[in-house]
This record gives sequence, structure tokens and C-alpha cells, in this order.
Amino acid sequence: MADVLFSIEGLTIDSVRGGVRRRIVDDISLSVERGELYGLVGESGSGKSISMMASVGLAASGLEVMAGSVAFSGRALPARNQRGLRGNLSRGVSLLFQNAKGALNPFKTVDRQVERALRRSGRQTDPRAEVEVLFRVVGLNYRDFRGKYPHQISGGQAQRVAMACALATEPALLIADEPTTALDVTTERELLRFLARLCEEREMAIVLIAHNLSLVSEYCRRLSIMHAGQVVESGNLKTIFADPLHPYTRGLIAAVPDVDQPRELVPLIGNVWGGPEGIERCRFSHRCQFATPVCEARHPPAIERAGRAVHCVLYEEVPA
Amino acid sequence: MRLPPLTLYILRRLAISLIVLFGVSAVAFSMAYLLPSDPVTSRYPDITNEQRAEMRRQMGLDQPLVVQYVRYMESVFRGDFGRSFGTGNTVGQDLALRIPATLELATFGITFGVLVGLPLGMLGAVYRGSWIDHLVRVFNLAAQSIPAFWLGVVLIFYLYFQLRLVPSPIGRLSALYTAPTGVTGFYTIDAVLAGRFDVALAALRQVMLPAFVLGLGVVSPIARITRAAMSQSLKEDYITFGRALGLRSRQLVLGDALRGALVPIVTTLGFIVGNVLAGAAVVETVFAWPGLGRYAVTAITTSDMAPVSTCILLIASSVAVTNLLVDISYAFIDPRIRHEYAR
Repeated sequence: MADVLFSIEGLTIDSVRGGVRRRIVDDISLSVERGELYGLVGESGSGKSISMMASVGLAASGLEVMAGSVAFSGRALPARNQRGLRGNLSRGVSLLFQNAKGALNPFKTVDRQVERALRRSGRQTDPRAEVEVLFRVVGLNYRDFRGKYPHQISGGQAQRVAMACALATEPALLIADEPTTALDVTTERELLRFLARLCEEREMAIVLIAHNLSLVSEYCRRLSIMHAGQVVESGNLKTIFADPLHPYTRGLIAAVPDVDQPRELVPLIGNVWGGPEGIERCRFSHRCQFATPVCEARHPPAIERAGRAVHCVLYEEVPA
Repeated sequence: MRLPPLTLYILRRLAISLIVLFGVSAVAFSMAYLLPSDPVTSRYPDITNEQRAEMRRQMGLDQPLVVQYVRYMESVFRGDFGRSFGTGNTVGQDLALRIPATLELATFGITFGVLVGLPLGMLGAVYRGSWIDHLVRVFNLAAQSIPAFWLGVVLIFYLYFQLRLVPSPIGRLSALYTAPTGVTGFYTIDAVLAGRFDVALAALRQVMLPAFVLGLGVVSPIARITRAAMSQSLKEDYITFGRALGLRSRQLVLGDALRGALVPIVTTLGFIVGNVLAGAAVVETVFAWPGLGRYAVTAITTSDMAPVSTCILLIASSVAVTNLLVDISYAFIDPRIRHEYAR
């Protein structure tokens, strides 16, 4: 790979609630290059956010990281060491959340929150001036927002303030967890265009987590598609769109409307976690029309095929 | 004229408190009236019916209830709360001695309770589900289950009679010292202001044990609400976002998460202040503390009407004032509440 900035290797996470253990992230891997906009797509509850949070050391309580490692700027750490990950990554990686208003402290004015993030980053020659610069970068007028509390601004503005906080540390990687879900369509476009521009201008890599494939398809060069805690296919966006290999990817793409070539949309049947509880299986098998008994027995490792990695027995070389 | 939102908010709360106080005065008056004993009979059991009727007429007890209430309120507004048969003083004189005694005891007790309960609750929230959390819960349960009268007596027995670690439990100051006179009425503070540090120390040693017994009852409710509210606020996105930004854990827990939990904690504290003022009677009795609670209990058991209704009025007013302070504190804690009236 060219210039890998951030990579996850074999991340596996269990949730332990009330003594019941469930595998919610099953052996996922992905790698993000410096300055690229990477998409992580999957239905709600497919484990996208959980994986990314755990990969920066912010796994929620009740989750147990079982295996895997995370490398950032060439330094790899076991994912089980959440505290270590957080210490190692908090300088270089920033996050954006779905609910920007919730991500801002309701008791502090927005300018003070940006200033605090800035102070934490260690560069503070002239905090006031730098806060102003950050506001300008995210497209807000500092004078209008100084002294305002999060509840006094709109969701889109809150997301921009959150972005100002996130950019204060000059991160090499920004993980944007469905940052536009709470926003209206116009604001969504603006924000995504802004992220894409940041990516280019600052050489900052972005992992865009989304459940909307068509959204990601406009901005990302490469992507991974997750289903029920497993990565099913990952690679170049154009390649995957032109010729989806995994049955799930095919289903997803068939469900995306295309204005230029109207066709009947095919809905995906079943839900993400509908299959039987079993650790060793392809978790799409209960929704898959090509499912074979083999699919119930194991989830195949990444198979390099036609310029991408796909996890499906359909593409395994049959031993001669 | 447009008032600033904070002023508007405070004025509104103030108006509500005044209405509450008015209602409380009516209730306090009727409660004293409804006590199942006759003040004349209990005072002078051996008088004839004619004498009794004459007494009642003199005291105005033959008048309709409403007239009595209006007269009563008139004198209350003049600062005249009547005379206690028991002490022979005016109720105003009696209270001037007893209110500071109870306030000093309650201040020490509540401060102790909060200083212990708050960190315990925070520990429970931060280490939720771990052995620390369980230990805190066991301690809370114990602190809550031990009755104050029993604990007071046990502590007096061991710490005074057996070990002589504390001075004898006979009120606010040993007879060896003269009570300091001063503005606050708190012996500890007045003595310090007068430069008598020996007296201050003696007063402090005297208040220590009753304040501990009183405060122990405060620890558990404070710890429990803190644990619950902090567990909630620690799960908020802004805490996770703060962690993602690399802000220090200590800053996030002690600053951001505690701030987020403060509204329910202060609310509970408001209840506690009311309860402690009303419930200090037990501790005051055990430690012969010359406070409001003991005064009220004595007055009730002897059908001493004027002190009874004044004490009810006083305790209810203190609850109303506490609630007012709690409501106002919300506006300072949470900008969203402060701006409620800005729209």
C-alpha cells in the first residue's frame, strides 16, 4: 500500500450485557491512506461506529475488545489496550459525532470549548486569535458565536463548532460518524463538501461512516462495506459500483436509485442481526440467495479479486 | 421595560415562594389550632369552667378562627410571635437563641454530609459496577440504616464516657467558657471573630459529634443521587467527545460531568436542608443541643401554642427559602434554564 496512515487489523469486539456475550464486531480490517476520504458503509447497527470508536480507544462500557490491533503513523498497538490507544491517538485523530449538539458541552460557550480544545493541543501562542481562525476555517463568524451556548445555535452550526474543536488538534485523521444524519439535506451537502475540501487542502484523512451508500459514493475514493459486524467487501469505489461482488453489496447497490437510468429498486430482505447466533459463520447467509451450507460454517478471509477484497465463499478458488 | 432573563426568572420564583409562604402560614396556624388539647386546660388543669371561659376570652380564643388568624398574622408582621408559657419569654427572644444553634449544627452536619457523600457518589459513578462501587453502596446502606438516636447514644457512651475523646454532650459550649457574642450567632465563628481561639476550638469540639450524627444521614442520599446523575452525565456524548479531543479525564469528570449532574444533586440538597432543619430535633435531644427542634418538641408536648405555630412557620419558611435558592441556582448551573425566559 502506498502511504498507510491508519489501519485496523482483525478487530473483534464482544458486547457483554447481563451476562450474555455477543460478538458484535467480527475480525474486521481496513486501512486508510494519508489524505484520503474513506467510506465505511453499512446498515444501522452493523458495528461501524463501535469499531471506529474502539479503534481510537473509546469503546463504550459493556463492550470488550477481544482481539485486533490498530496502527497509526506506523505505530501499532493492541486494540485491547484502550487506554494506550487513546493516549497514542488523541493527538492525531479527531472525531465528529452524529449528534453535534450532544457532543458540545451544554454548560460552556462554544468559543470557550474551541479554546479548550486548542489549549489541549498545546499550540497556544495566541489562543483568542487562533479560535477566530478556527471559526473562520469552519465557515462561522466568530463575532456572531462568541458567548453563545450550544442550545442557542442550529444543528449544522453545532456540527461546525464541533469541527472547529476537532481541527484544533490539527489531526491527521478525522473520523466522522454519520456527521450529517441530524441535518437537513442542504446542510448535509454543504458539510460533506466542506469535509472533502478539508481532505484535499490539509492532507487530512477522513473516515466517513455512513449508512447511506449513495452519499458516500459522491465523496469517497475507497470504501469498506460492513454487515452485522463483518466487513463483506472493500476496495475502490468505482470498481465496486461497476461490478459489486458480494451479494450484500449487490443488494445495497440495487437499492440505490439512479436518476439517469431509472430501474426497479430491489429492497434487501431481512434485517442485519436476523440470523442464528453463531460465531463462525457468514452473517449475511440468512439473507443471501446464494447461501450454501459452507456459509453457515465459516466466514471466509479476504479474497483478492478484481481489484478489491471480498469476503464470500463464492469467490474462493476451488482446489483442483 | 424589558428585564434581563435572569432577573425575570428570579422575580418569578420569588413570587411563587411568597404565595407558598402565605399558604404555609395558614396551615401552620390551623395545625396549632387543631392540636387535640386546649391550651388553657393544659396550663391550668384545676380551674373552674367560668375561669376557663374568662381565660379563653382574654386570650382571644373565643373568637372565630378567621379572626384569630388575621390577628395572628398582624402580630407576625409586627415581629411579635407571642409568648411561650414554658420559658416565659417572648417567642422572638427564645428563637434568637435557638435558631443560630440549629443553623450552626445543621451547617456543620450538612457540610460534612456533602463533603463525604459527593466524592463517594462520584467514585461509585466512575467505577460503576466495580468493587469500589459495591463498597460505596454498602457504606451508604449502613449510613442510612443507623438511626440517629441510637448512634448518638452509642457514640456518647464510647467516645465520652469510655474514652473521653469528646467533651460532655451538654449543648453548645462547656460551662467553663462564656458564650461569645457576635453577629453570626455561630459560636465557632463568633469566637474566631473575637479572637478567642480557645473558645472556638471548644465550640468546635462540642459541635463535632452531633454534626457527625446529623451529617451521616445526609451522606447516603447525596451519594446516591450523585452516583445516579453522574453515571448518566458520564455517558453523554460531550464527555466522549471531550475524551476524543484528548481532554484530561480528571477535568472531564470533575468539571464537565459533575456540572451536568449538578441540577439533580442541588435539588436533593434542597430537600435535605428542609429535612435536616425539621429533623434535627432527635440529635438535639440526644446531645442536649439548645436548638429549634428541641424547642418545638417541648412546645408541642406542653401545648405551648405560640412557639408551635412559630416553629412550623419557621421550618416551612426555611423550606420555601431553600427551594427558592435551589431554583435560582438552576439558572446559574444551566444556561438552558437561564435562557428559558429570554425568548
